[in-house]
Amino acid sequence: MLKIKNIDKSFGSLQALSNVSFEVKEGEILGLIGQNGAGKTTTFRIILGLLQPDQGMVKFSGSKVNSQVLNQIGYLPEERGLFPRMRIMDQIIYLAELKGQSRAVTKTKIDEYFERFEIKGKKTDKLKNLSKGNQQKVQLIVTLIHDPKYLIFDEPFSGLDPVNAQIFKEAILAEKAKGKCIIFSSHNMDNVEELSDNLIMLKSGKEVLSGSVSDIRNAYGRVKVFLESSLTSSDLSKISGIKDIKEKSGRYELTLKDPSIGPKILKQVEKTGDFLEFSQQPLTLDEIFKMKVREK
Amino acid sequence: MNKFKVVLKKSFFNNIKSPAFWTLLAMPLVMLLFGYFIFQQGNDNSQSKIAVISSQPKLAESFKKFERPDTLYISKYSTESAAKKALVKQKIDGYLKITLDNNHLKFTLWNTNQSNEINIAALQMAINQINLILQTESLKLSPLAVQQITTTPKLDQKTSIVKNNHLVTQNQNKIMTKATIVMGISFLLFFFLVCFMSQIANTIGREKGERVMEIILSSTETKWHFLGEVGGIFLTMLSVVTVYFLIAIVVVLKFHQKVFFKNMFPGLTWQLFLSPEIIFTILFGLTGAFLYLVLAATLGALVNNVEQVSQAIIPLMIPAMISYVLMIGSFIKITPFVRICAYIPLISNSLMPTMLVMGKASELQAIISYLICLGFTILMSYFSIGMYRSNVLVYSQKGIWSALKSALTFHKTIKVHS
Repeated sequence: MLKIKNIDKSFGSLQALSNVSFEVKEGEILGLIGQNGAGKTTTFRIILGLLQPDQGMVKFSGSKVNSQVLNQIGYLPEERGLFPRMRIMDQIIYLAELKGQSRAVTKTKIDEYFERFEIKGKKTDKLKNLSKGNQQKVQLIVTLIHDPKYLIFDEPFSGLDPVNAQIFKEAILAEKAKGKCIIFSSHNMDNVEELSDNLIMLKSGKEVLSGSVSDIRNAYGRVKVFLESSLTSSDLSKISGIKDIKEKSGRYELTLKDPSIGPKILKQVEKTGDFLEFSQQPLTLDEIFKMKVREK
Repeated sequence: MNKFKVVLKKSFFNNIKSPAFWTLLAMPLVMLLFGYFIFQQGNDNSQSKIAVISSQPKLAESFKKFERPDTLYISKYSTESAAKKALVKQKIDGYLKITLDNNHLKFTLWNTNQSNEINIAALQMAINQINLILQTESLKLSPLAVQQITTTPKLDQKTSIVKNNHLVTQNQNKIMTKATIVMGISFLLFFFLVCFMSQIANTIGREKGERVMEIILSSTETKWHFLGEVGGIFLTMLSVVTVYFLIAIVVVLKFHQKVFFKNMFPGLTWQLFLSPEIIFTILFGLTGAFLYLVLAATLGALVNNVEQVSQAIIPLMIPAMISYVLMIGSFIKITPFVRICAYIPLISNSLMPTMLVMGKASELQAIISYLICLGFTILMSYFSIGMYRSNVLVYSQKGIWSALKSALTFHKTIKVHS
């Protein structure tokens, strides 16, 4: 288990993190979300031991970060971090050696990973000769090849096409199935919702959301209604308690002040006796995220 | 420690695979070949043929005894006009006309501006010898008398140096040979430093620019990465030094009997290499090189990308240049300022060994200077690891000095393992 407790970090007068706490159990994925500059990368750097927190502690199954723990961490940074002029296999071997895995063991695994991630290129090629997507896949190999217990992905899907993004998602889910502790950050809330068991949202270094995805969504109540019926926009505006009405090709998306307004709308719809869709749902993660960002 | 070895190995093998390494290795061989070629060509061209014209054929013939590799004497031309024709056609490089003037032999040499250079000293020596033989024959002197007259007293120069308030006699030849070796080693180390300082700063700057540093430092402690990179380049430098040393041994073994070599390194013996002056030169050189590499790596970590590296290491070139200039200057005059500089790390590396070999500093002073240098190197290595840790993941758009300032400010708050 990875446990982060009461982390504070400042750079001069800038408070980068303030009292951040969370934990990730084996076989669990934690999504870390937040705007640029919210403190996600600083959190990752503190977990990796690249930065020293002013206060608080990071424990990996009870141990502080040390050489043995570092060997059990796989890290995929936001910006690609590899040697462009070095042969792919040489750098995978070197970086795996730094994680404590012998050259011989790494060599036996490289082909398997190349095949699994469908890399277009040879392992003897220089990295710079690969496309950006394939370079990102090499980075993923570097992250996984030493079979780490803890995985940290900083914006893993950034710049990937949908096919490659799917390969990445499958790889992350496969690691989850193996019982790894996984943290990842993303600006794409669909990915976060799809992959995360729990999530943390940081805003100016402070936790503003924390919990499982479903709990967070349900905490705001089912204030969304999707409706396709003979009711018009003017009919809907007469119903009190509707905050916002959006219409697209005859389908309405309503935001309610209170979930209890939903049944009232349903009654109105039933009266018309003609409707194709009525669905009352919680806010999406994306909406919650935007709402939290706007909150003062 | 294991990870230190991994970084060291990667750094070393990456460097020895680089074209810069092979260029450095090939350079002395190319220079030797070039020198040999020029020497050979010089030898071929410098052989001069001098026709000797005399009314006494026996006298002309006697010059044959004084032939040398660079000077041949030809007696087949009996007349001056025949010799002139041969000179015009460049069959000979000159002709020596011997005439009798008031019972004294007169020698006149004719040559042209297109002739090979004639060794006048060798010719004069031959003339002197022949003249002496003729004079002793005419005076009917015995060989013993001739020997007594011609023997000149020998001047043997012994230079003493002051060591621990005592005069210690040293052979001037040996001093000059040692000074030449010390200067040679110091020059080579200065040259290597310029090359390898750029290389280590480039490696660090490139790794930082390519953002691979975050991956590396999430795998190993900063100190092992830093020391591994510096150690790798230091080993590369040692490899070049070793190859140069082996080439030097081959050159010495092959040419040590040659006259030009004896003139260049008079009194050269194998024991000379074990003298304190040479040992100090090597110790100062290696420690100084390590210090410069450590500082170059630290400066390399200040930049955002490899393009800024050359600008970053300029400050380090200044003490290296001062050290070299003072070393040359110390052969001429030692001022109190130079004496103080001989104790300042970064400058003392080549200055103190030179002062030692010239007898301008004692072994005790050299030991003190070396201990200061060693202590400073250890201190700077420790400080540099801290600076490296603070800088290597920080990207400042405000320039190198601003990065240095920030690093010093955040030195205590930023930590990458330890």
